[in-house]
Amino acid sequence: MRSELRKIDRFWRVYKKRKSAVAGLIILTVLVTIIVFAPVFSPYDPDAKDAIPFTPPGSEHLLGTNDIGVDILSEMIYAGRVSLIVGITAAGIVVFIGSLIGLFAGFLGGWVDEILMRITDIVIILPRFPLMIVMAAYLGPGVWTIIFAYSIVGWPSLTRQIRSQILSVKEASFIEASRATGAGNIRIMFTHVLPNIQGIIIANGVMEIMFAILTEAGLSFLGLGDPTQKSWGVMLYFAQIQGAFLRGAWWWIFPPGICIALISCSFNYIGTALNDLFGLKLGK
Amino acid sequence: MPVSRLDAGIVQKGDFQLTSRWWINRGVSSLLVLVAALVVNFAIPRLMPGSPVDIFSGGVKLTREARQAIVERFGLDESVWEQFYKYVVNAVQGDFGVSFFYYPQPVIEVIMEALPWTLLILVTAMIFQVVIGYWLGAMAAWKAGSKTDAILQAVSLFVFSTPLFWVAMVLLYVFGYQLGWFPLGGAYTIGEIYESAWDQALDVIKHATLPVISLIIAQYATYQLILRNSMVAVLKEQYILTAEAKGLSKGRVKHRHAARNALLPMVTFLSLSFAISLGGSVFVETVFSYPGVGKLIFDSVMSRDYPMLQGCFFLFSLVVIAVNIFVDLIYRFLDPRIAY
Amino acid sequence: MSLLSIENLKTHYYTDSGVVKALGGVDLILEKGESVGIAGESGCGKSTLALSLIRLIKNGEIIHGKIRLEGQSLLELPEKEFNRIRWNRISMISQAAMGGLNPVFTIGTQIVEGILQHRKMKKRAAMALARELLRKVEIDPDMVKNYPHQLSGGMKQRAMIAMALALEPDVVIADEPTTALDVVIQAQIIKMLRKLQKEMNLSVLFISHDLSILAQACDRIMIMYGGKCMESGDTATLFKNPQHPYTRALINAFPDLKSRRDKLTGLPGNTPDMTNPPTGCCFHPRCALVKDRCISEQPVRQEINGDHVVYCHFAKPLSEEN
Repeated sequence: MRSELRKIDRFWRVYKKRKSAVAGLIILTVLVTIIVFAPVFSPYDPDAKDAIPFTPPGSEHLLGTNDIGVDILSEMIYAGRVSLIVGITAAGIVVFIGSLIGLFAGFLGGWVDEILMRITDIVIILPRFPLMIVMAAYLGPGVWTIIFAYSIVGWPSLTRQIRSQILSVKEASFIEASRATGAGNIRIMFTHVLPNIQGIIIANGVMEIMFAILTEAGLSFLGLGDPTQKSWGVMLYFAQIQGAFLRGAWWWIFPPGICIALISCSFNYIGTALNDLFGLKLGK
Repeated sequence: MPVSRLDAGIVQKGDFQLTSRWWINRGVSSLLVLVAALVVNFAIPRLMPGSPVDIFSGGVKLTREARQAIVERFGLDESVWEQFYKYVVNAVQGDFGVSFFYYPQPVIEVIMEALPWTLLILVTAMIFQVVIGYWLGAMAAWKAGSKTDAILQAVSLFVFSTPLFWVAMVLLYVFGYQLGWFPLGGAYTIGEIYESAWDQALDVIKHATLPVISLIIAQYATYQLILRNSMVAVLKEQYILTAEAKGLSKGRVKHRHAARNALLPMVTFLSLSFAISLGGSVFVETVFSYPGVGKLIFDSVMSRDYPMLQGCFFLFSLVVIAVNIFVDLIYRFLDPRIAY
Repeated sequence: MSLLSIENLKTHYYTDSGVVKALGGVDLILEKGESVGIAGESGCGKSTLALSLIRLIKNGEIIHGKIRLEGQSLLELPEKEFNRIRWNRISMISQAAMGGLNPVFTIGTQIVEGILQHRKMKKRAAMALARELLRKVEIDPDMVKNYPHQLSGGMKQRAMIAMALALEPDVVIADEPTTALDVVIQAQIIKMLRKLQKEMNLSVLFISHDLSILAQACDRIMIMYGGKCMESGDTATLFKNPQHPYTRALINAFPDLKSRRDKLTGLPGNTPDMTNPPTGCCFHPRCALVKDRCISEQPVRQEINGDHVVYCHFAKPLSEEN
């Protein structure tokens, strides 16, 4: 326990030297707090349609209202929940699939590796957004559609990284040692190899959340999200098709995008820092 | 080791033989991607819940005759292999069926009208992405570890995290709706009669400006980050010291000796970047109502025009394969050490 | 007037762990047509000396001293003017094996580039000159069309030499030009370099950790340790009558010909940490003959005879004993 604490302490001391990484952590903490305690922070009911449509920002509605008289600030705070949950869920699935394929390909090698990496190469080349759009279009709009589509195309780049990490860990002496004790492939993979690349997986997982949030926003903007569960992307979809431009409703266009940018940027800063730190083996 | 022989003769390589081997390699991997795209296209509608007929008809209630026509068109009463065979034969001939929305125009015709517009903004944007990314990346690398470097990196990570469609919306709102500097959409002014070819070109450029800027913003940062990292590594190489010892100017050391080597990772990213930009075209063209393939995809999603959607995806896959081959050729040209 | 004179040169590097005092006041004189060797273990400052000469110190600077080329002081020159000295008057043969040649340009292009930077001539004429140079270093002139990766290690090094000699510079710095090469090729290259030096009346500053190579290639040798000169003198004298304990250790512990280790086998201990160099004589922690005086007091220059110079408190008594 104490050694764990020391590790964290040592990690934090290196981490806090990076201004962008600390900034990312602060932004993320603030945004997540607001999103988690949405009822506390949101001034109105996000479903109440009782205000005057297209009211510009003012003392009553800090960020104005939309075409059906919903307070945009409240709507946005609740929309953050959808964006974040979808982002984290989709990223989790992608990390799971990506790590597993990378682990098997890298550790088992041979024809397993050959086949898995061929598939990876192909999936990485196919234009991923159009592919997701095609899948989502058939499945029909919805949150799970987006998660599913992202899971299908999102894993290859992670797989490649994990695989190359595995290849370098594989030759390490402790792996040879456990092999000598007669441990099976699967056992070695999960008890020895995986713990050694967990840093890389965590760092990539954080980055993956950023990609997932951006993807969710993008697909939702194309009308593939769930109109009843508004995310930031869905809000912008409605802004686009319900005349925010013509009415000059900048307060409907700017804020949701800024939220997406801020949250994915904070994940990006944190992920980049983690990647560097784990890459330097400082995190261990 | 036979020192004398190695020391006297160079390692000869049969250029012709290697080139043909390269083409074969390239051909096989391109073919695999092509097959994958075909399989995906073929499989998706058939794997989805519900009867394929309903899916192919876009969910519209059909008469018995119409249902029968669809079954025959796609061979839905035959075995999967026969269906796939039929599908491939049609696809190879460029036949992706008839658009639901633009009925009875064939999908391929509609796409071919849209494709030049997409390529226009994509290729233009790509040139700028590379130039800007190179310029900023080289600057950051030259001053690695400095404040400039840290700021450039932080900014590019932020830009990297902003959603493209939103950047496009903001540009459209500010420069289109508010300032009125650029048109609000389309690729040219509809119904305009131009006095000269120059006028026409200017009109097209004006319409393409904001979409192109959006696409540049979406991708330049990645080039910058890649170039910075490879350049930092290259600057530590011994040959950079040799170049400096020659008394060459800083610019020549940087843009000739360092850049040629540092560019290689950036070039490998070109094809991936093009694929990402193809996806980006969907958003940009949607926001600016730009009549390219991206807009076509969005419209097809809206109108459930499945044949069109699949045609677009397949065509994008073809473009990506072509770009991959092209980029490989550039790489070969830039790096003399590569011999396939 | 000497061709090149270095007086009390001090160069520091700035690193995260502190200031590295890589050169702690070095004096050196190089005459026209002379070949001087700089010997020492890695980290002794010999490469820093080379880089200081062409003013290419990265993450650090020359903080003190004078460098004169035919009387002209070089350290005060603005960068632009010094660029005209580089390659033209002071050139450098770096380690081709360690990537001294740019992999994406042909040998010819790289030689021509150096020529055209300093001489007004047609590109074709420069290319003809490049071919002539390759012939001089005894490789096929047609190799101007080849890329570095198509050449063997020895040929790359020869091409590198041709490149550095292109403008017939006053001073050529050869920084470990034969490291990582086969012993046979190593000998061939040294022999050729020596021949060219005589033919072209070149002044060469030859840097190596390997005394046996310097013995073949140089008229005089300077032994460096901890950023300072320990002993210098003409090659024969130095080998016959070494005064400094470190010189003796170097001579006795000739690195094995086959292994290319950069560390001495016969001498225990490590090279000093130059962020915090030892007091007194910087060699004292490893010296077998260490006395109290060595720890407290820096040895001064002592002339044994002529230009045989040593920096050791006990140099004379030791030689008298012998």
